[in-house]
Amino acid sequence: MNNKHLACLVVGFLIIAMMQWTNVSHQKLKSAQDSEVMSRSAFDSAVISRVAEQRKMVILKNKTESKRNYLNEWSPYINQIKNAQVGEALINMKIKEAKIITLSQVFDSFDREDGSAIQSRLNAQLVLEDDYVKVFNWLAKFEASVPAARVSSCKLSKGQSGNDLRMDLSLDLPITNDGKAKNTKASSGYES
Amino acid sequence: MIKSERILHDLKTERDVITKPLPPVMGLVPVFFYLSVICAIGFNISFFIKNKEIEALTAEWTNKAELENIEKVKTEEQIQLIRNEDQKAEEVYKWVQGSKQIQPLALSIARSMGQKSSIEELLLYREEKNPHQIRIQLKFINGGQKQLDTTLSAINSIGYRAYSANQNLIQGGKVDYQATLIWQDNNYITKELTLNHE
Repeated sequence: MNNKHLACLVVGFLIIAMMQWTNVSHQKLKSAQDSEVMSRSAFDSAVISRVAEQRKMVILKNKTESKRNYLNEWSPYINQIKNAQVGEALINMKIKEAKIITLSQVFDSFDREDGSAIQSRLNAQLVLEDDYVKVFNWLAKFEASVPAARVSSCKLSKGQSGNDLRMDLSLDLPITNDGKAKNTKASSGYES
Repeated sequence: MIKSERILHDLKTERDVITKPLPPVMGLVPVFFYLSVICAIGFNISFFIKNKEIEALTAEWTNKAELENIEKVKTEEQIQLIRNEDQKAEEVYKWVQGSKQIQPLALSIARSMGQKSSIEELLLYREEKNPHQIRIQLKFINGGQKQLDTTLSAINSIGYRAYSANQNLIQGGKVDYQATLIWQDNNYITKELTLNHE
């Protein structure tokens, strides 16, 4: 093998090297094209799942619209009593305003289930005795002014004198912003 | 002239070993070389440009897919919020159903009493498990069955129906009546707000 052959061989190798370089570049391009196709299909499936979720949301929104409207309209009344103290003060104020004779009043607050919309309730055990009309009017006004208040028990019996009515009342007020109440007696009652 | 040729001859000595020329076909080797240089450069530049374009496109698709995923996650969060609201509405609805005003009921019972009849004791209470039901325990004197019918029709007229009734007519017209009262409004949560005092 002489120099001329050697030179040809070198040139041949150079040609092969350039072919290889081009081939490598082409492979790189192919893999880039593949990953582009993959990312496009990933985008397509992301679009499909996003659209499906949005459709689900729209259906759910329409389905629950009336309930959510109901909640929005009732929320001010459900959130009316911020904590047990406010509830007690409200009941006392309503009794004082009506000037009704209160024989006893006991307040307790109770936690409800965890994660519940109404976190706790204030229970008021009231014994009122006054004129028949006055007592009934007071109860009507109270229930109207606190629509979310629940009368869990109402016992009516004759009062001590002529037209008097004795009302043993158990009232529950929903408390939404005071989740820390734990079956504690909020205020001790008094008997007269 | 001859003289100068001699001088040149003297300078350029004869080469003894001269290699044999390559076959004529090997003349194509440089042609192939130049061609491959041109092609390699051309192709690689073209591949490089395309690669960059594709990389940019890939990044764009990936970005778009990420945005879609973010949007999907946001939508899922909104769905969860709606579900929470829905659940809350159910709870509030149950509470409200158990908070229906009791005063009109008590008042209608009291008003239904005739002149001779008199309520000895009226107890209206809700059980914790079924607060939408009201248990009634009514004890009155005088009037008997007739008075009880009047009282029951008064209860019916304000929308309650009595179930599981139990009554004892005692001598002297004294009546001890017990029942469960259920509100007859069968409409589920309506679009309009209906305050229970309305």
